Amino acid sequence: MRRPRFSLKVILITQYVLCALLPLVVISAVLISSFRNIQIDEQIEKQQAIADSVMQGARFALERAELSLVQTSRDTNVALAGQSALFGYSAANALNEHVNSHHFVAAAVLIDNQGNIVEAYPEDALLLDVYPLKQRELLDPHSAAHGANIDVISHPQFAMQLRRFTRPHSVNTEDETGILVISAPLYVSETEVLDSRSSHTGTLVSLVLFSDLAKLIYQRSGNLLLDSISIGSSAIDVYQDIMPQDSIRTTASMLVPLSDIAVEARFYRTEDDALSAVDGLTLEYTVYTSAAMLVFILLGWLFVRLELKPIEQLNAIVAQFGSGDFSAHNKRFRFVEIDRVAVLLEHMASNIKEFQQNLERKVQLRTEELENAVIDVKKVNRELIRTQNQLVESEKMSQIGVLVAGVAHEVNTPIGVCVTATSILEERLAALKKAYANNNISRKDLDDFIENASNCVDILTKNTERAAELIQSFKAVSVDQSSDRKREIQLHDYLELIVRSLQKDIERHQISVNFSGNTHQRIETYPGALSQIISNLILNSIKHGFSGTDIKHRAISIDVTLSQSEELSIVFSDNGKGVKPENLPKLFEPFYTTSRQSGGSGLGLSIVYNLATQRLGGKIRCFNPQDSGLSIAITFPVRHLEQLAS
Amino acid sequence: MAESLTIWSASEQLEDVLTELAATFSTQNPHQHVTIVTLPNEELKTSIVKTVMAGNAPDIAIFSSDNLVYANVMKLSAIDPETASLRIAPFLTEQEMAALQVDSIFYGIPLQRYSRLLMLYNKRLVQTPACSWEALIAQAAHFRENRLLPVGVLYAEPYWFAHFVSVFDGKFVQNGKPALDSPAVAQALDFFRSLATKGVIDDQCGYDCVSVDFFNGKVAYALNGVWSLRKAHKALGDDLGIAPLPSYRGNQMTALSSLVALSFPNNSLTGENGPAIHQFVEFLQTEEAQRALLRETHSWPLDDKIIESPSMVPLVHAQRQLSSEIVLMPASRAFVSIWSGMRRGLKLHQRQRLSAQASADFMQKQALIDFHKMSQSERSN
Repeated sequence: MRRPRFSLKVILITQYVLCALLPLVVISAVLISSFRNIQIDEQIEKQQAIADSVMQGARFALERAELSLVQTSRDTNVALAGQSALFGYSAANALNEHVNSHHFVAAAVLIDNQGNIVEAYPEDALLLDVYPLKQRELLDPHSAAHGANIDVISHPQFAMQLRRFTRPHSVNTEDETGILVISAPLYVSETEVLDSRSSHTGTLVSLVLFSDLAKLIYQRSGNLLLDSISIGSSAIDVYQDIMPQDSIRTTASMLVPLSDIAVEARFYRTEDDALSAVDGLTLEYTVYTSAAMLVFILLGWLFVRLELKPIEQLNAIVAQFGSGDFSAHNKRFRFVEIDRVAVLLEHMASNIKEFQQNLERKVQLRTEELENAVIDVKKVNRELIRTQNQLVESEKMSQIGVLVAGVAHEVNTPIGVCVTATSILEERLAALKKAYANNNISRKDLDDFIENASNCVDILTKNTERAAELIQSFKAVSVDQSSDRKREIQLHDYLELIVRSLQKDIERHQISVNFSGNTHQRIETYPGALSQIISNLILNSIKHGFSGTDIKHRAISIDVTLSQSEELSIVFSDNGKGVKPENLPKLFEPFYTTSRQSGGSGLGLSIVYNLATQRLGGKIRCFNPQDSGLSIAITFPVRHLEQLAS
Repeated sequence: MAESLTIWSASEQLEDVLTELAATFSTQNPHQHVTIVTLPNEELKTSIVKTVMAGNAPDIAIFSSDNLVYANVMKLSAIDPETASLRIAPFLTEQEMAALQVDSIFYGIPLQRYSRLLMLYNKRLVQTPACSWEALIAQAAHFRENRLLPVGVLYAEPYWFAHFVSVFDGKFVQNGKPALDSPAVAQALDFFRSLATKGVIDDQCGYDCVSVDFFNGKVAYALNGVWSLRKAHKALGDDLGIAPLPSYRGNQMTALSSLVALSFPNNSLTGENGPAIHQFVEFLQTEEAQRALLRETHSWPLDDKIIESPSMVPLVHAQRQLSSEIVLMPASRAFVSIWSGMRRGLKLHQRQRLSAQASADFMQKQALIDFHKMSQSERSN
């Protein structure tokens, strides 16, 4: 029966992993990867947007400063401060408020229309040399078409002076290259509208250092780092060291309000820094996904356990039933399907139990019957065995009878000769006695008597010796057949002896028995078994092989071969009618015979088989030789003692 | 038809009493309604100029007499000193009379005497007031140990700084022009700053320092004006003392003073509200009004007779006793021109941008610019 190779637990888990967990992992990995790539692109876009926003924010700050300056310039107090010191205090406060509201403005100065700085914030700017402003005609009342004017002064000395006065604590070691100047004319007017009645009282100027503008941009850049800024044609390097290679760079620009002054800033951010949020988010997402996966695994384990537990319980019930315990347990299961199976199993167990009980009863009855039958069979078997033994003994007796008949037949001749010789001797002696009585005995008569008597004595001696020898040989064969002892024999002589013991039957059926092969051996074996085998084979050939045939030259050949491994092979063949091929396998079966009607017991070849395989420890097979008849080959181990001359 | 008068005042101290007097006046003169508006001093002046330009100036402006120099831009009504109702002459000295004139023309009517700085002190903190800066320097450590500011001085205000020039015998005007580039000014600058570095005064001291902090007992002495007496007296009561302005190296510090003057912007005296203005001014000059002013402000009144009355306060006595410190600030262009320049130069010196002399020179330069502008403006008008 084929054993199952998979467990449901493994399948469920595998199914769960393949259908839920693995897709989750794969999809998560794909999503995370896609998400990261999208985020990187978005980060770059965001960086550009931030850079643009920074610049716009800076532009907006400049715009606010410009508007604030314009608004301040329209403050009557400020405008009048250009004319009268009476308004100086108010103007100073206004400048204070303007500068403090726009931290990137280094200073705000109020210059009267004589070019004198009358108010300034911080106050240190009162000391500024306004010549560079005059040079650029920034103090010209008509320079501002829209209320304000923005210009760039690339005057390093003026810029440095401004920085010195207004940024005394600056750590910037780089030289200032220029200043952004926001200027608004001051007018005192009857109305809001400037007209010919308006009088120009001065100019309000906001001064923004390039470095402060850079700082303004830098401060708004958030996480972006500022590499360099160019204001108009002036470039300011902000980043002192070499920008890292792995930086994401962005350039953004803006136009200073009310001017065509372009401010371009180059930002950068290291990839690690730029993508830290992405990496952080990716890590967070990975953590969440991993946590979800762990939860899934846990849930999966719980579900599998939940699903398998009833099966295991069911399994236990089945095992219990399998072990023969069909006792009910009335256990309910949480799954309908399993519960149904359990109920069915219960019923089945109940039925099995009932069947089992019935069966047991039947078995008990049948066992009793069988026991009785066995007893009968045993009895019959014993009878059969006894009968078989009797038949075997009878066969033996039959064989012994054959042997005795053979012996008698053989001994009969020398005994007959002895009787004849004795008769002759008796005649001659009677004649001699008569002659003696008649004193008619001659020397010739005595010589004749002596010669005849000597001849008769020779004949008697030889024939009695022959008879004794025959009887001794047959006795040996007989003893061998009835004993199980192993002994040494000369194979050829022993085979001849066996044949001679059956000479009567052999001669009667006109069969010639020939030996071939290597028969002249002295071996140690069971001669009794050998004798029984050869005898039975010869008798079998006589009774079955040649019986009912008109074969003219009946022959039995016994071919002997001794192998180097001391296995003796005897192939007994006759040229009788043989055996049908389909009957060959039955040949050695007990009681198999084709002559039951003529008194065949069917035990002869069975005895030969048993002797060959058991007593001699060999093998036996039968086959039909090519021409005709039957051949039986017996191979058995012997102890080879000597090769004899043939 | 009801007449409405608008009075702008630079003194917060006067607001309540003026409002009270205005109400009394209105009660007495039902057809006349008086509105009192109080503005900070600088804003008052600029606002008067702007409203004059716009044609809606107040009827009466009350400020210190040295600001009468802006008579031109403020279009102040010239005043006939002989006008009895205006009562200029009876109570004033010659110097006081001069203080009300610009180019020999009266532009102001006195309301009270002497808007000036006083050396106020807290009697609970000061047993015997110091009379010299040397003594104050010596006492400073003691006050500091007790977590007190020894002397409250408005460090960034030129008016407060200007008083220190006097101990170096400095003058602000010479030959009709600003003269700030003198060694006295330079010395005063150094001395002023040294007081801060020595911890006698605080370089971060603002107006709260000389008022609220002083009232709350955190400052031993406070150099503050007469305009703060009402609140000071209310806070400290009998613990409020007035000491002489400290001398330095034997040189007396003088008080740059002015009269509290009524002026009439945009020629209001001769305008449609003229009669009402006259009436109100006359009312303010009454004993009743003067007593109210005295009672509420503790300022030296115009008429000493009021002081002799039972309502006399020791604070006024103290002011009278210190009258020798007084130096009236003239209503001259030269003098008024010094303030902006002094303010800027003072700042530069305090920020250590310029040395004392350089600061003084800068002050002078700025003052001259302002003086020339003012002169030019006067001429063009």
